[in-house]
Amino acid sequence: MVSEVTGTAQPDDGAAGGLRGQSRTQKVVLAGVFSGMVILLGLVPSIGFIPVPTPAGNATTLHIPVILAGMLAGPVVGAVVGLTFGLFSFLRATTPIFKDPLVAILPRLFIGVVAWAVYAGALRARRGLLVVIAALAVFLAGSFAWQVHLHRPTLGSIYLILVLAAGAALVYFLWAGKPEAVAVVAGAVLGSFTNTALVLGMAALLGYLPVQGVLLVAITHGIPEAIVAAVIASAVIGALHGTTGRQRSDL
Amino acid sequence: MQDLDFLRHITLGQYFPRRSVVHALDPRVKLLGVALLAAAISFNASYAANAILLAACFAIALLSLISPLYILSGLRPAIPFIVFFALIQVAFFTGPYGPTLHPRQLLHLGALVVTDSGVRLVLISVARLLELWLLTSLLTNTTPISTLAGGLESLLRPLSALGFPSHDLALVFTLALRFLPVFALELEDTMKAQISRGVQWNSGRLAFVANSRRIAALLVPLFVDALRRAEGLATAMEARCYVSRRRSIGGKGHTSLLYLRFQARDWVALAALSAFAGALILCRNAFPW
Repeated sequence: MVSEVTGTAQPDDGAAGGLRGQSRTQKVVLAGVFSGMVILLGLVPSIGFIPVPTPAGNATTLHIPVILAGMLAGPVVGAVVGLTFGLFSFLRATTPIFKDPLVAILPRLFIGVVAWAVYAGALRARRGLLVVIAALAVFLAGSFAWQVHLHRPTLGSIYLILVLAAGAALVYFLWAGKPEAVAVVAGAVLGSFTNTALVLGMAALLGYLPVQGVLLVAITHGIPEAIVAAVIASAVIGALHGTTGRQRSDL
Repeated sequence: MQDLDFLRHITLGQYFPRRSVVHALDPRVKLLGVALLAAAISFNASYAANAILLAACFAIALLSLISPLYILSGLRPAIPFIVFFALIQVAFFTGPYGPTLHPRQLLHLGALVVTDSGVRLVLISVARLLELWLLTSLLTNTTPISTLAGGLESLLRPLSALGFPSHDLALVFTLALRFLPVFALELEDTMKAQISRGVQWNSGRLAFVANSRRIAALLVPLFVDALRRAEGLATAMEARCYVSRRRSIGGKGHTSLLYLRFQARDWVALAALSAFAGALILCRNAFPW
């Protein structure tokens, strides 16, 4: 892609390269651009959501620019883009649940912050600490999947397989010494879970949904959204940093 | 295959040009008015207050020469969801809500208990939805978005004395809106390029993996392009000596093209809205019903 300003091909360092050395102007522009992405994904239906075989029908992708903003530009930019996501969700809401700013706006502020914290933390942590945390996460996810399995065997088996696959992938990546891939996926998954957990938590707290319904929606929506977020976030950051070794796509 | 024309999707809140009182008001008055009325809506859980508020929202719509029923027709596709959630709420909500301290049971069907508090919660939620939908729609129907952004920045300007980056926030909002058509066109081009190279568009609920891969293939070039544009824009702005308000050259801060000034009718409207919302908030416990 040719840069609009100078007319020459730009290397993608600077704003895309890392959190260090980003000037205030760069942060403002990044926040604006990612906010524009959120609004675009919300307005264009083909890419705003992905049909999944669940009751509500669709897993949304609007949280992905927020996660990417947090990881690429820091917690403040992540919070601002989260604010845009929340405001947009509030203004476009047609159900009473999301017409409440405490449910629509407040939880969304944390998506970018959590994504940044996990991403930056995982990049800087020593490998031993990462292994311990990863083992803990796999254990927790596995025991949760086992509980689900006890109540609903088919769903539980699927989740058990997913957890085992995720655990195997984690082990491979940590062993192969590619903490960046783990950091990106962890940041994306936890950022997505922040969105799911906090929004549904506020909805349950304020009485909009019963707790069982909240758990059901959290599982059926939260997990596909987390997977989608991880896939897209790692693809984008891989394209920017060359982590996966593939060529950047120049359209 | 769905339409490939995305530009017509990105009208963010339709603007209807009319010669009405509301259209001519300062955007700051409209923003503050919506905020005040939203506060009044949040604090009032009685049927009487919500009837008054709903009537007020209808009145504002009529004052702006826009039909309130037309605005509410935008909710029509969501009616099944609203009904569904209402039924769930009324069946499972058992706590107290509103003026009554002890909820009275109205229906008892095994595990499902319907109380008058539950019914109140559902009806008030729907009323609030209608009121907020009318207010937010009217805000964008009577004010162009760029004017709204200027009004928002002006309102936040006092906070910048405390270090709150109000100018930067307003710029973020403006940039987001500025880039919408750019991204929409970019997305269109990417989609057309991929389709012309034979990408299959599987619709259908079990094509989850294929669909997410397709969307990833669309979003990745979009993000990469967006980041390159962001970098170029930031460089251009800095090359033209853009700095944030606090550290601006000469210390005077930024001037803007849009110059907002209150007039008599703005003060009158603001006073009326403040009095109305204030009265409703202060007397929220005085409504018996």
